[in-house]
Amino acid sequence: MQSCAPSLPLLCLLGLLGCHAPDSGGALTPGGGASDGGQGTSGDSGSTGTGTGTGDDSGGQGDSGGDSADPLPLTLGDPIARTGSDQEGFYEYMDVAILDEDRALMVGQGGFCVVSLEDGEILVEGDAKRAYGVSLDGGTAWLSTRTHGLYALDVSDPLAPTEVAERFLPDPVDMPHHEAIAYSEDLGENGLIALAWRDRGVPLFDPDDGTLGWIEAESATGVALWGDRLLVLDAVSTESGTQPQLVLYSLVDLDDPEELARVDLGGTGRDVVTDGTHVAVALGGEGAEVFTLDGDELEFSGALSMPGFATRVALDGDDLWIAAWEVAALAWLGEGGPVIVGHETADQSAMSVGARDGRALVGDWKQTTALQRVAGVGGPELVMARSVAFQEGDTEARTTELWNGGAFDLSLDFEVDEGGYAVSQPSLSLAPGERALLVVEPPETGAVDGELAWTSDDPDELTGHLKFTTSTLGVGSTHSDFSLPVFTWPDTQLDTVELSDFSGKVVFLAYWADF
Amino acid sequence: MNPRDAMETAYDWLGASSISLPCALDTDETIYRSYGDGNNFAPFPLHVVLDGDGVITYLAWQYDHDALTTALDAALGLE
Repeated sequence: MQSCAPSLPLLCLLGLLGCHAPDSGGALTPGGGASDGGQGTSGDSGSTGTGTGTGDDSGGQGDSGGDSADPLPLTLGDPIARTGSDQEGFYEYMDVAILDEDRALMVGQGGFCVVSLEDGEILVEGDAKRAYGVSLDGGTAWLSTRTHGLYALDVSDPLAPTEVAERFLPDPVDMPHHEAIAYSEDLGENGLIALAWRDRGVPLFDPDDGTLGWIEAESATGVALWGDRLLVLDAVSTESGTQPQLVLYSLVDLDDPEELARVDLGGTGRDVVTDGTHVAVALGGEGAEVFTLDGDELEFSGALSMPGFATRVALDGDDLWIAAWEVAALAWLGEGGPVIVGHETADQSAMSVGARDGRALVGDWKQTTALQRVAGVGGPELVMARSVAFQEGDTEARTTELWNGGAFDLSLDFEVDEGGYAVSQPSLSLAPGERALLVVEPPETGAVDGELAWTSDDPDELTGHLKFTTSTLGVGSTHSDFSLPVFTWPDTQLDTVELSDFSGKVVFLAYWADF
Repeated sequence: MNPRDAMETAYDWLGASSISLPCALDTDETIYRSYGDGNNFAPFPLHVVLDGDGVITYLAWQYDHDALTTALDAALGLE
């Protein structure tokens, strides 16, 4: 299971001969006790009532062929079609805000871009100062960043976003570690911004006049606003560890926010969204949980599981889209729900999602992927990793799991590559929901980079390639020497260290990231 | 932190985070990618333990306290 997204090429050199291992991962995996590495979350996608894709009463789910006697679109088979994809230099799209019926703003580690909802085409791109969250305030997009506090983009012309320097809010404390941002136009004189800020809690800002208040939290990782209601994803300490919780506040009196409800969650809190009725929470390896917001109460509706690691959620009417690294999942929250009705395997890693009118835009690590809720398309859904990793020269087989996430039988046929890679089941058929383990045999001469073509009857993935990648280093191999720049804060002197400097000593290399 | 970030950014971040360990910057991810999937998504954290001969005795893409502690103890002869 993947544990964290790639971001930081820093590594620590520790544990020379005689040193002991660190007693926790806290120093090496920023984010402290967050076992997942604490990758940022955001609660704005479809959550703020400011045009960020909460859907509308006209439906727009594209599944209206069903009637009330058959409310579950599950019977339609695979309800997701891919409509396009695009790539560019930026990557790690962390959050999505729907700008209008045709376009979305995606922000991430490397920048921002305006993307077509129809086909995922990147229309405009620019610098976003390592933004982790975005929320819309009419024609202004508020971006929370890891390096530049909070700042604003004028997106009144979606094809020409411009930074609004006078609305820049520098980091109000000392260290930006914003995890999520939400905006409500219904609070304060100029609207209200809430930030999830880990152990610093949840500051509440007037976008023009500064801080209005502050809600305490032990580890806030998500926020969502709807009217005068605030939802906070927190993780509180218990005798047995940490307990993720979802907390509902009333902000009627901004000077004295009132806690209305608090519920325990499973997994790791990553994201929360609401449209005033539904509340959806992404919970990492535990999938997602759905609640109904009913006045002062949160009523549990159900839990959803899917492959991968649920990291973002987006509401679109009664549809819920979930970015879960391995897949983008679609759940139905209407009558008979909540229930997962479809998956689409991510080409790379589905890290963020926004949705509107039956369309979803997924931030798929280094690319966009546009999806559409389709009506009446019967078919199977192939859910399978796109690559299998070997160690270079390896002759041992590896396994990968695949399954049929649709509602019709799936057929999958791999090409036969004499002398190359071979799979244990070149032709297989899976019933709906059935899983299979595929054993992959590398070439007899040892693993090298390669691929096998496959064909399927998944309507939107009729052909593809299972790629085989090789690493040069693994357990049992001798590490190649390297020379890297090294520094130790607060010393400013830059040294160079070579791995061979530590010959004869035990070396611990820890690669980590500042999520 | 990103591959394109400057050393100064990493330095500032360490200071703000109160991390005083010696840190190296794998500026283009060459070393990190040599362990695994060089073309696709690869997760952090990654932990690698080398014995005195430079042979990799432990390699994992997630933090497993018990497994990592066992591997370090074994490498250090503390078992």
